Amino acid sequence: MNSETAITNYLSEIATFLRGADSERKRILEEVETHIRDAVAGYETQGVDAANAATRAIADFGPAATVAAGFITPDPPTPIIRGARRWLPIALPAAISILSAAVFILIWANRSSRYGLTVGERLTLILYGRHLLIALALTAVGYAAIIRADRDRQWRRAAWGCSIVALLVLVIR
Amino acid sequence: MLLLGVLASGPAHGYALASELHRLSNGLLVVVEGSLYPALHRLEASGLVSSSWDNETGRRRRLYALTAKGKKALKEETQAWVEFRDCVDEVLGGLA
Repeated sequence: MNSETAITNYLSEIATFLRGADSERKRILEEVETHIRDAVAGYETQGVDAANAATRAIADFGPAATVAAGFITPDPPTPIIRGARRWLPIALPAAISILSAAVFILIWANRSSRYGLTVGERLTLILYGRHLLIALALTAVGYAAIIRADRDRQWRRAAWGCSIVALLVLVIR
Repeated sequence: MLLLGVLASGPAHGYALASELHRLSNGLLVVVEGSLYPALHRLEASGLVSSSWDNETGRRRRLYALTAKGKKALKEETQAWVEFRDCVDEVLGGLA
Protein backbone atom coordinates (compact mmCIF):
# COMPACT_ATOMS: atom_id res chain seq x y z
CA MET A 1 0.00 0.00 0.00
CA ASN A 2 1.46 3.39 -0.97
CA SER A 3 1.60 6.29 1.45
CA GLU A 4 -1.29 8.23 -0.14
CA THR A 5 -3.64 5.25 0.08
CA ALA A 6 -2.60 4.56 3.66
CA ILE A 7 -3.28 8.18 4.69
CA THR A 8 -6.60 8.31 2.82
CA ASN A 9 -7.76 5.04 4.37
CA TYR A 10 -6.74 6.18 7.85
CA LEU A 11 -8.61 9.48 7.50
CA SER A 12 -11.70 7.68 6.16
CA GLU A 13 -11.59 5.34 9.14
CA ILE A 14 -11.40 8.24 11.59
CA ALA A 15 -14.27 9.95 9.73
CA THR A 16 -16.52 6.95 10.30
CA PHE A 17 -16.08 7.27 14.07
CA LEU A 18 -16.36 11.06 14.35
CA ARG A 19 -19.58 12.66 15.55
CA GLY A 20 -20.82 16.23 15.58
CA ALA A 21 -21.20 19.06 13.10
CA ASP A 22 -19.81 18.68 9.58
CA SER A 23 -17.63 21.79 9.97
CA GLU A 24 -16.07 20.39 13.16
CA ARG A 25 -15.47 16.97 11.59
CA LYS A 26 -13.89 18.63 8.54
CA ARG A 27 -11.60 20.66 10.78
CA ILE A 28 -10.51 17.59 12.75
CA LEU A 29 -9.78 15.58 9.61
CA GLU A 30 -7.84 18.46 8.09
CA GLU A 31 -5.75 18.85 11.24
CA VAL A 32 -5.05 15.12 11.42
CA GLU A 33 -4.10 15.01 7.74
CA THR A 34 -1.71 17.95 8.10
CA HIS A 35 -0.14 16.36 11.15
CA ILE A 36 0.30 12.98 9.42
CA ARG A 37 1.83 14.64 6.35
CA ASP A 38 4.22 16.65 8.56
CA ALA A 39 5.18 13.46 10.39
CA VAL A 40 5.71 11.61 7.08
CA ALA A 41 7.93 14.46 5.88
CA GLY A 42 9.83 14.25 9.19
CA TYR A 43 10.46 10.53 8.77
CA GLU A 44 11.47 11.00 5.14
CA THR A 45 14.13 13.52 6.12
CA GLN A 46 15.51 10.78 8.40
CA GLY A 47 15.83 8.51 5.36
CA VAL A 48 12.68 6.41 5.79
CA ASP A 49 10.91 5.59 2.49
CA ALA A 50 7.48 7.13 1.84
CA ALA A 51 5.38 4.00 2.46
CA ASN A 52 7.11 3.17 5.75
CA ALA A 53 7.04 6.82 6.78
CA ALA A 54 3.24 6.87 6.36
CA THR A 55 2.85 3.60 8.28
CA ARG A 56 4.96 4.94 11.15
CA ALA A 57 3.22 8.32 11.21
CA ILE A 58 -0.18 6.63 11.37
CA ALA A 59 1.00 4.24 14.10
CA ASP A 60 2.33 7.20 16.12
CA PHE A 61 -1.03 8.93 15.83
CA GLY A 62 -2.89 5.93 17.19
CA PRO A 63 -5.87 3.73 16.28
CA ALA A 64 -8.60 5.59 14.40
CA ALA A 65 -11.33 4.67 16.92
CA THR A 66 -9.22 5.88 19.86
CA VAL A 67 -8.37 9.14 18.10
CA ALA A 68 -12.00 9.82 17.24
CA ALA A 69 -13.14 8.93 20.77
CA GLY A 70 -10.85 11.64 22.13
CA PHE A 71 -12.87 14.27 20.32
CA ILE A 72 -16.20 13.13 21.70
CA THR A 73 -17.20 15.35 24.59
CA PRO A 74 -19.42 13.56 27.08
CA ASP A 75 -22.92 15.02 27.34
CA PRO A 76 -23.50 17.10 30.44
CA PRO A 77 -25.69 15.34 33.02
CA THR A 78 -29.39 15.85 32.40
CA PRO A 79 -30.74 18.49 34.79
CA ILE A 80 -33.73 17.08 36.66
CA ILE A 81 -36.71 19.43 36.60
CA ARG A 82 -38.45 19.48 39.97
CA GLY A 83 -41.63 20.97 41.36
CA ALA A 84 -44.61 22.17 39.37
CA ARG A 85 -42.48 22.83 36.28
CA ARG A 86 -41.91 19.08 35.96
CA TRP A 87 -45.60 18.47 35.15
CA LEU A 88 -46.00 21.48 32.87
CA PRO A 89 -46.21 19.47 29.60
CA ILE A 90 -49.33 17.54 30.72
CA ALA A 91 -50.88 20.15 33.02
CA LEU A 92 -53.25 21.67 30.45
CA PRO A 93 -54.49 18.46 28.73
CA ALA A 94 -54.88 16.79 32.15
CA ALA A 95 -56.94 19.70 33.49
CA ILE A 96 -59.13 19.89 30.38
CA SER A 97 -59.55 16.09 30.29
CA ILE A 98 -60.60 15.91 33.95
CA LEU A 99 -63.04 18.80 33.50
CA SER A 100 -64.42 17.24 30.31
CA ALA A 101 -64.74 13.85 32.04
CA ALA A 102 -66.73 15.49 34.85
CA VAL A 103 -69.06 17.13 32.32
CA PHE A 104 -69.37 13.83 30.42
CA ILE A 105 -70.28 11.88 33.57
CA LEU A 106 -72.81 14.52 34.59
CA ILE A 107 -74.55 14.47 31.20
CA TRP A 108 -74.37 10.68 30.88
CA ALA A 109 -75.90 10.21 34.35
CA ASN A 110 -78.88 12.30 33.32
CA ARG A 111 -79.44 10.63 29.94
CA SER A 112 -82.53 8.77 31.19
CA SER A 113 -84.05 11.62 33.19
CA ARG A 114 -87.23 13.47 32.31
CA TYR A 115 -85.30 15.88 30.16
CA GLY A 116 -83.18 13.05 28.72
CA LEU A 117 -81.06 13.12 25.58
CA THR A 118 -82.20 12.60 22.05
CA VAL A 119 -80.60 9.83 19.97
CA GLY A 120 -78.48 12.42 18.17
CA GLU A 121 -77.30 13.92 21.44
CA ARG A 122 -76.43 10.44 22.76
CA LEU A 123 -74.35 9.69 19.68
CA THR A 124 -72.57 13.03 20.01
CA LEU A 125 -71.89 12.25 23.66
CA ILE A 126 -70.45 8.81 22.81
CA LEU A 127 -68.17 10.42 20.23
CA TYR A 128 -67.19 13.03 22.82
CA GLY A 129 -66.41 10.21 25.28
CA ARG A 130 -64.18 8.47 22.74
CA HIS A 131 -62.18 11.64 22.12
CA LEU A 132 -61.92 12.09 25.85
CA LEU A 133 -60.53 8.57 26.29
CA ILE A 134 -57.92 9.18 23.59
CA ALA A 135 -56.91 12.47 25.25
CA LEU A 136 -56.69 10.76 28.66
CA ALA A 137 -54.57 7.95 27.18
CA LEU A 138 -52.22 10.50 25.59
CA THR A 139 -52.00 12.38 28.89
CA ALA A 140 -51.09 9.10 30.62
CA VAL A 141 -48.36 8.45 28.04
CA GLY A 142 -47.17 12.04 28.62
CA TYR A 143 -47.04 11.30 32.35
CA ALA A 144 -44.89 8.20 31.73
CA ALA A 145 -42.64 10.23 29.41
CA ILE A 146 -42.11 12.87 32.12
CA ILE A 147 -41.02 10.15 34.56
CA ARG A 148 -38.55 8.77 31.99
CA ALA A 149 -37.29 12.29 31.21
CA ASP A 150 -35.43 12.26 34.55
CA ARG A 151 -32.95 9.89 32.88
CA ASP A 152 -33.14 11.04 29.28
CA ARG A 153 -34.03 14.60 28.34
CA GLN A 154 -35.47 13.49 24.96
CA TRP A 155 -38.48 12.00 26.74
CA ARG A 156 -39.57 15.47 27.80
CA ARG A 157 -40.04 16.31 24.14
CA ALA A 158 -42.18 13.20 23.81
CA ALA A 159 -44.27 14.44 26.76
CA TRP A 160 -44.80 17.80 25.04
CA GLY A 161 -45.72 15.94 21.84
CA CYS A 162 -48.35 13.85 23.65
CA SER A 163 -49.68 16.99 25.28
CA ILE A 164 -50.09 18.82 21.97
CA VAL A 165 -51.82 15.85 20.31
CA ALA A 166 -54.11 15.42 23.36
CA LEU A 167 -55.07 19.09 23.20
CA LEU A 168 -55.77 18.80 19.46
CA VAL A 169 -57.97 15.76 20.09
CA LEU A 170 -59.90 17.67 22.76
CA VAL A 171 -60.27 20.78 20.58
CA ILE A 172 -61.15 18.95 17.33
CA ARG A 173 -63.96 16.91 18.93
CA MET B 1 -0.17 22.74 31.54
CA LEU B 2 2.69 21.45 29.38
CA LEU B 3 0.88 22.43 26.19
CA LEU B 4 0.23 25.90 27.59
CA GLY B 5 3.90 26.07 28.61
CA VAL B 6 5.10 25.33 25.09
CA LEU B 7 2.62 27.80 23.62
CA ALA B 8 3.94 30.49 25.99
CA SER B 9 6.97 30.84 23.72
CA GLY B 10 4.73 31.59 20.73
CA PRO B 11 1.95 30.25 18.51
CA ALA B 12 2.49 26.77 17.07
CA HIS B 13 0.65 24.07 15.16
CA GLY B 14 0.02 20.59 16.53
CA TYR B 15 2.96 18.77 14.98
CA ALA B 16 5.40 21.48 16.11
CA LEU B 17 3.92 21.35 19.61
CA ALA B 18 4.43 17.58 19.85
CA SER B 19 7.99 17.86 18.51
CA GLU B 20 8.81 20.73 20.89
CA LEU B 21 7.47 18.84 23.91
CA HIS B 22 9.60 15.85 22.92
CA ARG B 23 12.67 18.04 22.44
CA LEU B 24 12.27 20.12 25.63
CA SER B 25 11.83 16.98 27.73
CA ASN B 26 14.99 15.45 26.19
CA GLY B 27 12.84 12.70 24.70
CA LEU B 28 11.32 11.70 28.04
CA LEU B 29 7.85 12.93 27.21
CA VAL B 30 6.37 11.11 24.26
CA VAL B 31 3.07 12.72 23.33
CA VAL B 32 0.49 10.29 22.01
CA GLU B 33 -0.15 12.37 18.92
CA GLY B 34 -3.76 11.30 18.53
CA SER B 35 -4.57 12.69 21.98
CA LEU B 36 -2.89 16.02 21.31
CA TYR B 37 -5.67 17.53 19.19
CA PRO B 38 -8.56 16.60 21.48
CA ALA B 39 -6.56 18.25 24.28
CA LEU B 40 -6.01 21.37 22.17
CA HIS B 41 -9.70 21.47 21.26
CA ARG B 42 -10.64 21.27 24.95
CA LEU B 43 -8.20 24.06 25.81
CA GLU B 44 -9.73 26.14 23.04
CA ALA B 45 -13.26 25.41 24.28
CA SER B 46 -12.12 26.57 27.73
CA GLY B 47 -10.79 29.79 26.23
CA LEU B 48 -7.19 29.06 27.22
CA VAL B 49 -5.95 28.92 23.64
CA SER B 50 -7.20 30.33 20.38
CA SER B 51 -6.68 28.93 16.91
CA SER B 52 -6.70 30.09 13.31
CA TRP B 53 -5.76 28.68 9.93
CA ASP B 54 -2.27 29.52 8.75
CA ASN B 55 -1.28 29.23 5.08
CA GLU B 56 2.22 30.71 5.28
CA THR B 57 4.12 27.49 4.63
CA GLY B 58 1.98 26.57 1.63
CA ARG B 59 0.09 23.92 3.60
CA ARG B 60 -2.98 24.90 5.60
CA ARG B 61 -2.28 24.37 9.29
CA ARG B 62 -4.25 25.18 12.41
CA LEU B 63 -2.12 27.53 14.48
CA TYR B 64 -2.69 27.58 18.25
CA ALA B 65 -1.87 30.55 20.46
CA LEU B 66 -2.12 31.24 24.17
CA THR B 67 -4.88 33.64 25.19
CA ALA B 68 -4.74 36.09 28.13
CA LYS B 69 -6.87 33.61 30.11
CA GLY B 70 -4.42 30.87 29.13
CA LYS B 71 -1.45 32.92 30.31
CA LYS B 72 -3.14 33.48 33.66
CA ALA B 73 -4.02 29.78 33.96
CA LEU B 74 -0.44 28.80 33.09
CA LYS B 75 0.91 31.12 35.79
CA GLU B 76 -1.43 29.64 38.40
CA GLU B 77 -0.75 26.05 37.32
CA THR B 78 3.00 26.65 37.36
CA GLN B 79 2.78 28.14 40.85
CA ALA B 80 0.73 25.17 42.06
CA TRP B 81 3.21 22.74 40.47
CA VAL B 82 6.21 24.48 42.11
CA GLU B 83 4.49 24.32 45.51
CA PHE B 84 3.69 20.63 44.99
CA ARG B 85 7.24 19.84 43.87
CA ASP B 86 8.73 21.75 46.85
CA CYS B 87 6.41 19.87 49.19
CA VAL B 88 7.52 16.49 47.78
CA ASP B 89 11.17 17.59 47.95
CA GLU B 90 10.73 18.56 51.61
CA VAL B 91 9.23 15.16 52.47
CA LEU B 92 11.86 13.21 50.57
CA GLY B 93 14.60 15.46 52.00
CA GLY B 94 13.35 14.68 55.50
CA LEU B 95 13.58 10.96 54.81
CA ALA B 96 17.17 11.12 53.56
